[in-house]
Amino acid sequence: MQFGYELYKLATKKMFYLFLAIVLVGNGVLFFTSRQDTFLTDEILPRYREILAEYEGLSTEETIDRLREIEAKLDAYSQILGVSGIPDEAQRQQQLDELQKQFPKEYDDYVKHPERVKALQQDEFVYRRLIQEANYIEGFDESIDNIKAQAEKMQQISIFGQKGTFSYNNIMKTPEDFAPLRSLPLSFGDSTGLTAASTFRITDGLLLLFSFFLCFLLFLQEKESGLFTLLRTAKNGRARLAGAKLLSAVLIVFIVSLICYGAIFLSASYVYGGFGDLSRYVQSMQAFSRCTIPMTVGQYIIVFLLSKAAAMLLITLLFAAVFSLSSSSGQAYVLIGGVVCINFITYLLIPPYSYLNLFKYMNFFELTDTYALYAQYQNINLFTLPVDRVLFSYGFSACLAVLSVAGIFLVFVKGIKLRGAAFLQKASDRIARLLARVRKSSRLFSHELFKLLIGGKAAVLLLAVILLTVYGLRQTELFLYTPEQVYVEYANTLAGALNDQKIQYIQTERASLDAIGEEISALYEKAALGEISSQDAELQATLLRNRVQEKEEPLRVIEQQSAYLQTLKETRGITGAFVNERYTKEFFDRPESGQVTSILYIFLLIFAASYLVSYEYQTGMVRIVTAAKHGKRRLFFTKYAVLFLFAIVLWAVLYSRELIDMVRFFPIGDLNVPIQSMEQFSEIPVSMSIGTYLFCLYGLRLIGGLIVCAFTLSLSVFRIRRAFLILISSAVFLLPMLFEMLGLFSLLSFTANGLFCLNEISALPGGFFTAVAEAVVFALLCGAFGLVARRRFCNE
Amino acid sequence: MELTISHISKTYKKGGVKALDDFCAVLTPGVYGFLGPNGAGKSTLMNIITDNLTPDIGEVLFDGKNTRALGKTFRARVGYMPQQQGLYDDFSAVRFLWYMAAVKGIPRKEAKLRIEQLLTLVNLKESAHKKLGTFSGGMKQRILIAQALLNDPDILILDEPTAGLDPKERIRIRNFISEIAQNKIVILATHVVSDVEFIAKEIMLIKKGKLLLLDTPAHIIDNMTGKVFSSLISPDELPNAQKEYRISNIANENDQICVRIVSDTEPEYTQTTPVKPTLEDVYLYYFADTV
Repeated sequence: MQFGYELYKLATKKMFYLFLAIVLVGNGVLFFTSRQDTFLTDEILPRYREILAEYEGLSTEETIDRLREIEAKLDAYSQILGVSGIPDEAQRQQQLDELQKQFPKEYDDYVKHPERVKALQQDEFVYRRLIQEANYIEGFDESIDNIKAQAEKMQQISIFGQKGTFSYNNIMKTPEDFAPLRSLPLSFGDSTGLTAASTFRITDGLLLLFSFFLCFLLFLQEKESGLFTLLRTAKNGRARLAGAKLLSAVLIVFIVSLICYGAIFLSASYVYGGFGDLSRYVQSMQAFSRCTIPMTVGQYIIVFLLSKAAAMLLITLLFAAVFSLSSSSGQAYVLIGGVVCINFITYLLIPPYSYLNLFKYMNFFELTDTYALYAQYQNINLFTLPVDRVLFSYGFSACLAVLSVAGIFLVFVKGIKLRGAAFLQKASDRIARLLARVRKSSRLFSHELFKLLIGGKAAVLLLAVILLTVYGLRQTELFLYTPEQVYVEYANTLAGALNDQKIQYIQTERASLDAIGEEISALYEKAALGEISSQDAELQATLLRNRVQEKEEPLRVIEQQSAYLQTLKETRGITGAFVNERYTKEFFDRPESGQVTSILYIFLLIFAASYLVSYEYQTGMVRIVTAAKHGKRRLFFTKYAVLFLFAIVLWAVLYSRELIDMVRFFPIGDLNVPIQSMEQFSEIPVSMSIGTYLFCLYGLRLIGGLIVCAFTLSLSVFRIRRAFLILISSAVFLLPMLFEMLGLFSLLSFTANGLFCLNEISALPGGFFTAVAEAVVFALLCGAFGLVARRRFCNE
Repeated sequence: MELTISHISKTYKKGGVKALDDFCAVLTPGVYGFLGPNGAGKSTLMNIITDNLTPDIGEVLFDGKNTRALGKTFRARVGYMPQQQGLYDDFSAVRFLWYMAAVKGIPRKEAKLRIEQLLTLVNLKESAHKKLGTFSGGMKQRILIAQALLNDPDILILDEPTAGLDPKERIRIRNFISEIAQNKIVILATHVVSDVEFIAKEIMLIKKGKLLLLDTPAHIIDNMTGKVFSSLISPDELPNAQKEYRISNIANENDQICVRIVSDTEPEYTQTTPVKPTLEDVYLYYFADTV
């Protein structure tokens, strides 16, 4: 019964649902949008999945055999191709003869069926990866033997051979731990999906925040409101109450954790084409080569999910204990903040094999790094004794859990407070006093800003957004296929305004490519005349054909660009320029990424804007402030100003990521060239540079943000409850964007979507002006609405 | 200095409730006790004076000028403390006062001085840096009084300023109000008649939106002479007495009950003597049907 009421208490809190929604939705969205693979780009993924599917149902031996064949082919092709680099014809011929004897089939393919070679070479990257896995499987037993050999070798070295030291004990233990893995039946399968799911840590952060908030609601809020004393005087207000709260927290966190982590695994399975045979041992994959626990992939997934949930539960218990022991949120924040800082410092700075590594592994960051826990063999130095990290983590977690639960019950039953609570309160007060020094301002703006940042939690949102942006920054170079690399070379050569020389260059390239047919014919003639051997002729012909194949597609794209630019000049008098379409597409043609950012931007603004006036009505302070000298117009406009400032800062932080990524990894070149140089933007009626377009792109987004703020703030003057306020504003701004992103239907006209989706709307005839018109119309409407709201707020 | 409430009427559209009905009063410097039951129209009148509500009919004049027309010039001279007030829980007491100083347009130097003085006055100096969310009810009352006094207003409107305060604090605040009221118009709405009995220049009795009385406490009490009686009755007679008369006090006296009766006519009990009326008796006399 009490347990039910504790759940009911949570169910009545709208913020609980909001947090839950953010965690559940944000988790999935962030997985899809923040995925960064050097190898498995969106272009390669479909082919990767197809190739993996080809090996489904085959035994490991069959798979490895097939991969060996492919490897042999790839190596052979590579060697044959390498012959072309030999300058001397005689040597070249000799080498070719040898290779023909060595690789007759491959030689035949190369000469007579170049399309087979091309197909294989296009998939070379995927195959090399799979071959790596095959190599690993075949060498597994040997690697286990090597561990033993290595250990024996290290014992000979004095610093490791000293008995009684951790180093010595560790060396002795390691081969023993790996020995049971020898002769483990391994099966082929790729690990990409599994490691992607296992190493995605954003979920940890989201769940930490959720757990923190949940524990605050369950264990501290009643203390702050004074209800705790009342509850403790009741018959079931002690141990039973503690039990009910603990059970609620544990149950909710457990379920939400399983859902979140499970969703990541499902998403990874979808993206990467599954996890392969779930009954194979994880040691079958190189990513788990250091895992000493023989378990199948299926078992690993279950263990992983349960371990993650357990880690989250432990953290929840810790938060619950801290909140229970603290008498104010200030104390709790100081304590938790201190613990997190210490954890982070020890996690970062202490080396894994240091004698202090005990402290490295007794912290949140390690406990939640479940992949490393299982996949990376590690012994903890426990007073020179090497203790398996998994065992250590379980033991430490169990102790911590028991202590936390005991602490919670002691608080509820005995009314015990934190030892040193006075110290924490002093620390909390000292910090408050320190901050108070900067607050002696008679400026309304600074106080309203404080209200928004602290009372409205906008500071927390901003911090989270900054972390998200930093984390979301691209870390790896843009992966380019060979044809794309050729295209980029062309684009770099031709960069700049279209002119006659560039047209000439393209024509020359086309001519030379077209002439290859004749060159090939000439080669055969030479061979027929005995001037060169037929093999040499075949090889060179193949090389020439390869060149055609490499360059045909990129050159065609360049020609299309050139034709478009020429048409642009003739029909509209705009001198366009060659731009690197691979790069510009990466920046301008990724609607989902921009829309996700915009949705987040809109949501955060609605959340912040809905607070600033609503809170005045909620507390009743509106009667006092509006009775004061500056409590009407000036206050009203100050609130707008504060919110607009927040909108600007948030805009800068959120949208900076895509700009930084562009500058670092796919620079779009000269910003002075006309935007119409990209066919995507051919519909833009006014001649403007890329720089000007970018200004419009980000400017409209900012205007959109300001409009969202103005609308929500104005609406809040009508004394609508905050929850409904958020709903109404979301219906006006957020829902259309969601429809747009999900592709349900396009609402680029008639809504404010155009302000946030300029790249998409500009592709439509009249789209650019529609977006500008939308900005003007919405701005005017919001301005008018604001005037009405002002009159109401000021009681005019 | 004169605050004129001229023929103010206000009807709330929702429910069609007539909150004020042709309310007229002229207020000069001094303390005005504002007595009336819940729903009498006190808060409505205060909201109209502070320009939080617009009257349907009538106007409020300050020194002959319409207060709405005066706008912030008038509001700069008003200090308001409403009843049952929420606060910014995340603000510390000192920050809250700084914020109110900013809203009231008080210059920084003056604000610094006033804040320090007021925190001492309301006995919150020790808790100045604590968050308002941690304050007790009495502490919240005191900080609200402090903010109302921040701009040294000419017109001070206090709605239940002593609610939640202990007797010592109550006396302090009452005495303070009395001190500063010499050159201020103080409107003090309260249910605690002792708050106004000794310090109010005049008492306003309001009932169902109408001004019943505006007179000095002495006059009001004098007018009650001959209407308040003390009777000794038996316990059996008590239920009847309660039905028939307005009883302001019941006390046990040996085997009998001493009842204090407020009535236009002398009660028909043998042991009945007229007694000196108090303001409480006045309250009961006028508002017994609304209690």
